[in-house]
Amino acid sequence: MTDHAPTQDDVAAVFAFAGLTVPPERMAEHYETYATTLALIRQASPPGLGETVPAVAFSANWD
Amino acid sequence: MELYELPLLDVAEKIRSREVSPVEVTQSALDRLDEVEPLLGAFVTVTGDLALEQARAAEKEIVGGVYRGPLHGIPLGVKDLYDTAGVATTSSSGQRTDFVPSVDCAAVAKLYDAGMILIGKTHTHEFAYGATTPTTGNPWAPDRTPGGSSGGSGAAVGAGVVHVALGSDTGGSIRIPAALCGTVGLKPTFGRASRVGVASLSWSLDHVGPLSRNVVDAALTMAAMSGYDRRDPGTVNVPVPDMVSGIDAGVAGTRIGIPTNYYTERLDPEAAAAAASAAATLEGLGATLVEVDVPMPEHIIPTEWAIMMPEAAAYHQDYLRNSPEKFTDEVRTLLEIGAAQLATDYVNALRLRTLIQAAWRDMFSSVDVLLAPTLVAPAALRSDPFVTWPDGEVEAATAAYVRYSAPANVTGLPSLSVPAGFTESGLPLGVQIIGKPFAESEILRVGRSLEANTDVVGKIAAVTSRAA
Repeated sequence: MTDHAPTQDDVAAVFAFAGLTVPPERMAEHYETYATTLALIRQASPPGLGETVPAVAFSANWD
Repeated sequence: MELYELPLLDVAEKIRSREVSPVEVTQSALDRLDEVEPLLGAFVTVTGDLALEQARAAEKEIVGGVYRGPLHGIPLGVKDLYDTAGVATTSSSGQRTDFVPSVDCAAVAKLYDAGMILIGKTHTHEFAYGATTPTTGNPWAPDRTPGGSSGGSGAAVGAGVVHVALGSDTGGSIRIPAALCGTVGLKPTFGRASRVGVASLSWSLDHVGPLSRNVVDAALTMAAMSGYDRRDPGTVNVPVPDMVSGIDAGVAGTRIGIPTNYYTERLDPEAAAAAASAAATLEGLGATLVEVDVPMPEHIIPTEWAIMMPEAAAYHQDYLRNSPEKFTDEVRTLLEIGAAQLATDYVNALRLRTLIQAAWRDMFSSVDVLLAPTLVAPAALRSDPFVTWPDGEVEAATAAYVRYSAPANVTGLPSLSVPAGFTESGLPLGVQIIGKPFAESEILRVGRSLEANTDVVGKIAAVTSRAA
């Protein structure tokens, strides 16, 4: 697990804010998956992105 | 020989010349379906009556002098993510067991216009969120996974039920089952075809496209289902080329990139050998092999997951809040993670995607296409969907399969998976040809060269209960 892995309390708090029902036993069962995956995701948010713009597909063209 | 065993173009010619009726062709497909379905479980819904009704209508048109082209009267399997008017569309999920759309999705509407016949709806890994499709068996060894998420389509094509079935590809979900089931699979360029009416996994990464028995089948189907659609903001308003003319032009002078990294890591030796053999075949036909370094390899998988997971969670937000118990535990867990991800991590992944796309553009300055194994390993057991590497590391099958297919989703580049061989135990292996944006015709031409100069494309699995 990396430095960016959230704690179980962190994950529980964000689930509550997101309106999800995740009982304690489910949290205990899946916490490692939650934490390691969120840590993997954090690797796509590296320092130094500077002025890079996001690659978004939306076009407002009505043609 | 049964009609279903003939190549699509041969069947099409027999229909055009009225040697056989679409009704006979459809009945042959339905008979093959009845034969193999008990071992495979490829279909959620079989639309036999509708198929025969459509076939009779096609027959009447053709007898009346209206022939729409080589897809007219050809049976089609449709992944159960695609809306089909009047036919249940469940996404293989308990969330949508009773959902019957009132209109067809854009892709199916276009293929109906081309004259295709709906045989049934094929199983997907629930809502396309996974690469093993647990409901379904591999036609070459039913105790093994067909891959996913378009596993039912892969199984149906590999077993010979249909020449073409539709898939969707967010991290490899067309090419993964294609490689594992011994079929062709085409993920087009992001923006080539409309996703309207297809349940989304991740709007920024989703693509629609065909799995097929032969390369030309994929070309015909992809061209027919392509085109700009103002309702899908991802589509690009560029002309749809004729993807069939020129498909036999060969590869002399084509510069083929051979990766020296990323696609060489944690790779099964038989899969590596199949890719090397394909490269040698193409070189022997006059192509030039050019070694290339894949840029930013460490960022590809984090970027794929960081974009996909929150978009999936957003799409499924109401289900996740109101009826989470109707998801399988696996998919529910993935959706929960997406709901917990920081928005800044999502946006930064989109920014990283910009850099990855630019770096891949630079890499393509020295090559026309990239050739790589489609997957790291052949089909895993359904009862043990993991890959164990020589160093003892165990990798979940979905994570393992996505590693080599995700780059084409992150970059949006077109990628064609073509059968490239079999393992000693008889399991299919594939190679993928990745092209420049909107260069579907070019990757189809390279794939067709492999097909014409090897003996592994176009095979139909016998479908027996043997274990591989």
